[in-house]
Formats: sequence, structure tokens, C-alpha cells
Amino acid sequence: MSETTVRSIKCTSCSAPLMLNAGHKIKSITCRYCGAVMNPHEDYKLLAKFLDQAPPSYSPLTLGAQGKLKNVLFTVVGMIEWTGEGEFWIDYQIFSPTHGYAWLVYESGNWVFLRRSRDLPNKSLWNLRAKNKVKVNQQKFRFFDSYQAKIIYVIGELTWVARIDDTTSLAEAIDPPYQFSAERNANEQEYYFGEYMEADEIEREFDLSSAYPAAKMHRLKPYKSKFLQPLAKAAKPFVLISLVITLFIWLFLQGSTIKPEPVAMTKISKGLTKSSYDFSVKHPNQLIIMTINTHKAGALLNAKITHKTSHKIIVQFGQNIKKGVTQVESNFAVAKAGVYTFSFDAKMPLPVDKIQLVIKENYITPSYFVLLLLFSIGMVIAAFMSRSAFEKKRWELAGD
Amino acid sequence: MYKNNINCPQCGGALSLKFRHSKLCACEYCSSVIFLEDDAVRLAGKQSVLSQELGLIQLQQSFSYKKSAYLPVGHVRYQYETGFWDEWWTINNAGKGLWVSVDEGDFVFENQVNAPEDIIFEQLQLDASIKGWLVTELGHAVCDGFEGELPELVTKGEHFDYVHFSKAGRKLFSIAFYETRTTAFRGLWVDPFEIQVDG
Repeated sequence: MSETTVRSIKCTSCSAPLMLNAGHKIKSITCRYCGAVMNPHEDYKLLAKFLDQAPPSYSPLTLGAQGKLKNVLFTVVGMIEWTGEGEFWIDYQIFSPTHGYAWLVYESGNWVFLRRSRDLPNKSLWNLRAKNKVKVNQQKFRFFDSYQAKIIYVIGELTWVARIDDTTSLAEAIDPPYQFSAERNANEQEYYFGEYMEADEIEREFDLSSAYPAAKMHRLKPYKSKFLQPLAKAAKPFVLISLVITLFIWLFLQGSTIKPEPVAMTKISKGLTKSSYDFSVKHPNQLIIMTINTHKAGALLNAKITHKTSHKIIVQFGQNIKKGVTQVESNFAVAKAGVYTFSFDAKMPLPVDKIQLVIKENYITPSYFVLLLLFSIGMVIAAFMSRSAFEKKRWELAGD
Repeated sequence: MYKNNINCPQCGGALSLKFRHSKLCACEYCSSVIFLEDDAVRLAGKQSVLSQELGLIQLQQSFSYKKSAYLPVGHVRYQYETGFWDEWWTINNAGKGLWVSVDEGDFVFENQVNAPEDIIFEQLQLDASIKGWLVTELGHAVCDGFEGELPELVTKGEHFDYVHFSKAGRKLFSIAFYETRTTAFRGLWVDPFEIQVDG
């Protein structure tokens, strides 16, 4: 069920042997040697002759080439080169005895697999502007471009009679990697469903020996990033998870307050104040957070916590209170339950009513989850920006 | 009850019928064509030999489409102006019959409906719109033969005019105008890439 029936005829104009691979829906056969156009349903009667056709400067496929598309074997039976808006592209008419006719379109290194669609859009494509939405069989597309194209080269078997210099109007709506397009000429309008095909897949399936560079951008090229896309995908659930955990910690796991009182300051000399007081820790080896609330810029704060009886220093720090800083924090744990002494001095008078010391035990810091949240959001934003830049390039190709 | 205990009146071979409402079948042993009437069977000549063409659908080879399985049990071929198309009589997994029309990759799933009496073939024109349906094809066809079992009588060489009407939503409505009768089918275009052949 995978082979085509190959027949052979002689061109009725130049007698060159022509291999025929397609079926009875073929309406024209154009000799690749002399440009004679024949009607296969009227004893290959001559319909026209395209003299001195210039073949495309580069055509990756030739008539008779075979390859699988979506696991179905197709044979290249015809070829048309088009030009429009300064661009050139080749439509290869392909045929499968099981799946019928389709087109494989080659556009500067990019490939599109195009099939006739029996679906109709919910609105005409011809009056839309770029990015206007159009729906086809529940799939949402956005209008991309409409333009006119002219045939400049024809050979092989085609499901219609294509003539050199014939023009066709095309209107394309996209939902990358898919496309829905309309083709309209003087007599009829047909709709097509297209799908972007990766160049390496076509090369592999059609056994193309000469590699060619893929164009940087194509209207249907799917956005792909080896690094950002998978990382952002993996990061998305962590945004929610880390946000929920962070909020939970902030709301419910902030520990129990040991010392909420304002610090009683003692002025010991000009420009120097000190204070100390005791507090009890009931739960050893649990995180304790000490928060000093002040906003006296310029003060140098030296603080330490010692065990009351052994005077062993548990934590010690000195910090310049910079302008705008309102809070100094230190996290620590003690090995034993008992009474501890907090003491500090400040090398600048600190108004008593501006200083508040809060010590909490059984404290859980959300720092790691905050970092995870920031990293996850960063990845999602980076992927979004990368995608946006890619889409911007895509839509720069679109018409007005 | 299936007509599963009927023998060929020509050779005596058992006719293994798949569909209870079959009206016509070909004996797989002697190729005789047999009319299946309510209480009798009647010989109707020899089965024609259809050339084997490459195709997605083959007799007795089941396929599936959108979670439903279908078994082709009968096959009719019609010649028309530029070639031929095949009509496959299939039984789905609910035991219901369905016609599948295949013409070089164009697939339509069809059910027979009552033929409209107010449409006259000679008055039809391509691209004309009738009751919201667009005339998309007019032609003349001849039955080239059949194989397997069918729900209606077909005769090799019988010819008819036909019209195809199309509508949004992949809809197709076909009418066949025979000399003595008119038949109509309502159908849906199907993407062959959505059909999975079993095995």
C-alpha cells in the first residue's frame, strides 16, 4: 500500500519519455524538456507550450522523488515556481495512492506541507488586517498576509492547468506551526491547511544529499529555545509552589515572640548609648530571629548575645545604619534552653522611642523559597521576553 | 438475526454474511452474485473482477476513525469522466452500516437519506446555491462492478447522473439520478490522515 504505479508516455510534442506517477485527478502534464502542456484525459492533447522556461536557481527536489510525510509515502509529481512581493518559492505537487494529492512548499530553506481543506473560515480572509482573528473548525488563526503570486516555471503532473504568468491571490492566516490559507483566481477559490515541516525531517525522508541553511525566520516557524523553553516550563509550577510556601511561612510560621519591648537606652557618654537585657529561650536548636527596628542613619551599631551565666558569645555583629535602613536582622540558634543576654551599644545617640527590639523563637525563614520564587519568575519572564522577541520578528514579515 | 446459515445456490458454499440487512453478496468460492431476498436466495450471474488498486481502505481490513472501528464488507466501483471512485460498505462497531466514498485521497462518510423530489438534474448548474447548499460537482457515472456484500442491489453497467452539493462544516449531499430511481446521501468529508488502518 505504499508504492505508486509508475507509467510512462512520450511527450506528444518532443517525444521525450515522461514518467507518470499520479492518478486520474491530474489535469495537466507539462513536459520537463520542451514545456509542452498536455491534457491526460484527451489523449495527451497539446494545451499550450511554455518555451524557454528558466528552471529555479535551486530546487532541492526533483520529479519522482519519494519520501514519507506524517508516515505516508508521497511522490513528487509536479513542480511550480512562484514569485510574489520579491520572493521566490517552489510548490511541489505530491501524490500518495492512499492519501491523494498535497503540496510540499519550499521557501528559502523552510518547508510547508499543504493540503486542501474542506473547512471554511468563520469570516472571509480577504478583508482582514494583520493579527485579526479568524476561526476554522474550532482552531483560532490570526491573519498574516495577502498578496498576489505569479507562476514562472511549471513541469510535471498537476491537478490543475497552470500557465506561465498566471496570477493567483493568496491570503494566509497562521497559528504556528499551522496555516490556513485561501487561494483565489478568476474561476474559483480553494482553502488549504498547512503545517511547517522541519528541514532536517524533509532532508532525511527525501534523502536530500545537499544540505542547505534554513532561513532564519518563516511565518510558520515554531518558537524553540533549547535552554529557556524547557527551563521556563519546569519553573512554572515552582512559581506557584514557592509563592504558596513563602506566604504560608510569612503568615503562620513566624515564631513566637520572646521580647517585644522597646529597648531602654542608657546614655553612657556624649554620642554613645548602650543597653542590655535578658530573655529566656525555651526551645534550643530552633531558629531565633532578632530584629532591631531603627532608622537613625549614621549610627554604628554593635550588638551581641551571650549566655547569661557562662557569658559565651552566641552571635555578634556590627553594622552601620545607612540612610533608608529601618531594620537590622540576625538569625541564630542556641544549643541549650536558658537565659541569654542581649547587649548593644551605638556610637551615636539613638532616640529611645525609635528603637525596638523583637526576638522570636521557632522562627522559619522563607529565604530559600523566596530565592526559588525569584528564580522561577525570572525564568518565566526571560522565556516570555525571548518568545516575544521571536514573535516580533515573525510579525515583521506580515503585511499591513 | 444474521443471515448466517445461507448457502450459495450455485456451488453450495456457505455465505458468511456480516450484515443482517445485506441484499446482495458475492460467493467467495465461485464468485456467483446472489440476491438475498426475505425468504430466498437467487442467482444473478457472475461477480465482476475489480482491479486491485492501492488504497487506504481494503475489503475485510478494519480501520478506525475518531474512536469508532469500521469493517469494510462490500465494495462498489464507479467510473466517471476522468477516472473512478470506490464506495465501501462498512459496518461499525455498533453494527450500523455506513458508506465510505473514496476518490484518490478524498474521503466522505455517507448515510443514505430520502431523496428530495423537487431537484431535477437537468436544471442544475455548477456553483448554483439551493437551500444553502452549493452545487460543486455534476457528472455521469457507470457501475464498474462490486465485491463482498451490500445493503442494496447494484448492477454492473448501470449508469446514472449525479450531483454533489457542499456546505460549510465539511458537509456533502449527493444525489444519484438513475433511470428508474433516485438515491441520496448525506455525508462528511474526512481527512485521510485521521483514519487509522488496523494491523
